Amino acid sequence: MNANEVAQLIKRYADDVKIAGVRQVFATTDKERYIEALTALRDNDLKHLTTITGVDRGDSIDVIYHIHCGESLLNLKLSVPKTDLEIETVTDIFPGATLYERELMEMLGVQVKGHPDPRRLFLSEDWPTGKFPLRKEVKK
Amino acid sequence: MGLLNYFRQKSPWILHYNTGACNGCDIEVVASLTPRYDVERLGIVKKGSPRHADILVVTGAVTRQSKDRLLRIYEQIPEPKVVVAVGNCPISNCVFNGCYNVVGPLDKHVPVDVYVPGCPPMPEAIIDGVLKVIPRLKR
Repeated sequence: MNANEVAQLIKRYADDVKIAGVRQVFATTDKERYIEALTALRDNDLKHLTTITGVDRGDSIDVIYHIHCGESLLNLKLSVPKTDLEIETVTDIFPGATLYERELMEMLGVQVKGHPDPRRLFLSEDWPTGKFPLRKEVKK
Repeated sequence: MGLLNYFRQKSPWILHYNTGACNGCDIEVVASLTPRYDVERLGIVKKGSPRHADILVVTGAVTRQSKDRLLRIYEQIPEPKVVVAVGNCPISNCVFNGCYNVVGPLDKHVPVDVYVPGCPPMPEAIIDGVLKVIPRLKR
């Protein structure tokens, strides 16, 4: 699927759809629509969630779903405020998201509801609970 | 010089432990075992157990997870024992300095006898470092 087709498909579920170059699509979605958006993508045969990245923006955390669309790459951004850090799991849509969501949980403290295996992934065994190393406030 | 001391100097056995290296230094340590450098001609044998080793060769920045394992291994090596820090990471944390899970440098946790700088150091440098540390094995 090329960038234009992806943009057409995602338009209903996201605002601010931007085509950057021939292979990159950026879009911003919200908590109400992102599950629908990802389901729609999966149903249109875009079954490869490349990765999920988390970015600390100060007051909110951006959770970006990178979806491989054959000819292009879709970066679907979901902004989660730090006062309500809870998102639904997408492992029922993309089973490969298990590890990415575990990383989100331990590195940024995003609560992923309904995750099948919410153990720690990378951090050492004696790491204190409630300390999230990729948060801005960790750096002095 | 006692008999044990004599043989220990003739054939020191090393234990290689990676505390969180990028594998660059490990490749160089292993390269020194290959026929081109062949440390076995100097009597140096790489062992799998700390209880058989005289020299602990550490590569990599000391991470929070590996620190306790490193101390456990160090304590299991029988006296006399010496430590060689291979690469910039155990010496100064190198590029990993300031990372949330890095608790190095190595000499904060165990006494280090020889430092081999380099990123990664050449096999010649590692062999030279190990040879320099052998006289310290004298009891």
